[in-house]
Amino acid sequence: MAMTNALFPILQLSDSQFPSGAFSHSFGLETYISNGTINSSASFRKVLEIFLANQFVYTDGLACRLAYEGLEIGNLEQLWQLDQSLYALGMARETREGNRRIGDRFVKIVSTLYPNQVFDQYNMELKNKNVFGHSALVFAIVSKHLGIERETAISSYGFATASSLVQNAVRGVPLGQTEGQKILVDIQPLLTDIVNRIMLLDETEFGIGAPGLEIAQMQHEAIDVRLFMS
Amino acid sequence: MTYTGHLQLEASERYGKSVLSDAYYNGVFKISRPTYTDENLPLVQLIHVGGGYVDGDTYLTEIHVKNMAKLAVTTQASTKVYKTPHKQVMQRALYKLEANTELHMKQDPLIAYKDARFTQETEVHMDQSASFFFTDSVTPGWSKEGTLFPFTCITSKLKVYQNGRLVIFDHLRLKPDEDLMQLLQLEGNTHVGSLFFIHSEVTVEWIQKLRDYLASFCDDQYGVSLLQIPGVCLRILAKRTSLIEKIFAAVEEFIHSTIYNRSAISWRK
Repeated sequence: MAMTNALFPILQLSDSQFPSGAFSHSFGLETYISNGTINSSASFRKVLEIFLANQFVYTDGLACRLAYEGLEIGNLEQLWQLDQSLYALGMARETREGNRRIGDRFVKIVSTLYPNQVFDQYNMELKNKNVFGHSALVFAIVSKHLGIERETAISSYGFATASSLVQNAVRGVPLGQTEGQKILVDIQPLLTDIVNRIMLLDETEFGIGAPGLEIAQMQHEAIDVRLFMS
Repeated sequence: MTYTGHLQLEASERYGKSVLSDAYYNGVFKISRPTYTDENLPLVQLIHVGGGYVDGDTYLTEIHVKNMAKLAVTTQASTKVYKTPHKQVMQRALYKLEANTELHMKQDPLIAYKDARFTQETEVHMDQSASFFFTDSVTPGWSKEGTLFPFTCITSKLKVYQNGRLVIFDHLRLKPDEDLMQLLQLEGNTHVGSLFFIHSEVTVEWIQKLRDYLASFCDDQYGVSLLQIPGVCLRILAKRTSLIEKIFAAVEEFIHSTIYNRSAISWRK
């Protein structure tokens, strides 16, 4: 596929309105809203920063980098193993299932929009129930296919993650729309820093969890009134 | 390679009874003479005769539970890790569970002192019909400076493969220079505990009952959830080891009364 401007597909995938289903998941953050820990723009921003500096750095972001590197050497087996590891890392059922649903949907939509052989394989592996689907791999596959650099792929994925959590916070906390957008400006230096950190991580650091967040994700199952599925 | 401590255990079923069919140990690892619990489960205590883990130590524990056999293993005391100026301590454990087996692993807390670096890697290969119980907890050791986290870095990885496929990957790393007290991390706590129980009868409904049961007497910071295979993960944060032990004991009791229909294992300590 000839791509004269790789910016457009990246903008498209990073759009918080992209129909991946991410708008129905808070990934445990609703527990913090429910218990009052998140009750303002400042408190949400703090949690978002820690989320990105941990969950995104060691798991989602690093998975995106490792998948991209697997594609560079044509090792698709590495991608399917990453997909299985990402699913195995999920200790909280709702979050694990949320990631799977979003991932599965993301693979199906993006593989239709930007078809290529790797996506064909991914769809096949999904059909055979060998893998589960994960958005980290989708960002890597589409970026590699369109000739977008590794750092840009991870940056876009990080921004998409932040943007989707901000949109959910606007509805869930709630925050003003402008407050939400302001957070997306304020965290830009952090996102740059995070991408640099991901580039330097060792593969053995993959999947380091945040125990408090995991507990919040587990506790979400028992919250009575909820806006989000996780 | 020569390990600071190396242990191999094998359990088999003979005429309807589980026995410890083979045991090998070398270095600072020893085991107690196996005793039998009231439920006829062989119980082995792991003993570290060296007093504590120090710089550059390497440990390997291999446990093989053969068809139909059951085994309960515990540590005699907590594992103490001291300073590691040159090389971190590495501990590996490999557990193999064949069809229709049970392995109950109850480890005492790991206590990490000043400047300790420790990595633990546990790998479990189990048949779908096997069941596995496992506890793990990390406690910061006392330091004369009064530091909350005197150690340098503690890493614990657990990988469980069921019928050859990776189904659980737990990766905990406590590195005090990364602000452990903050939200999403230890959230003002100092101790972390994890409990895994894999058994074909664990369902969403069973976990809901467990959650209700725990909520009836405990308001500590913990969570329970269903794994991708029938099994549960419990994670708890606390300021004291005794709270973690209390929850672990309650979960154990719940498991034994609802699933095995017997009283919980008396670990005889």
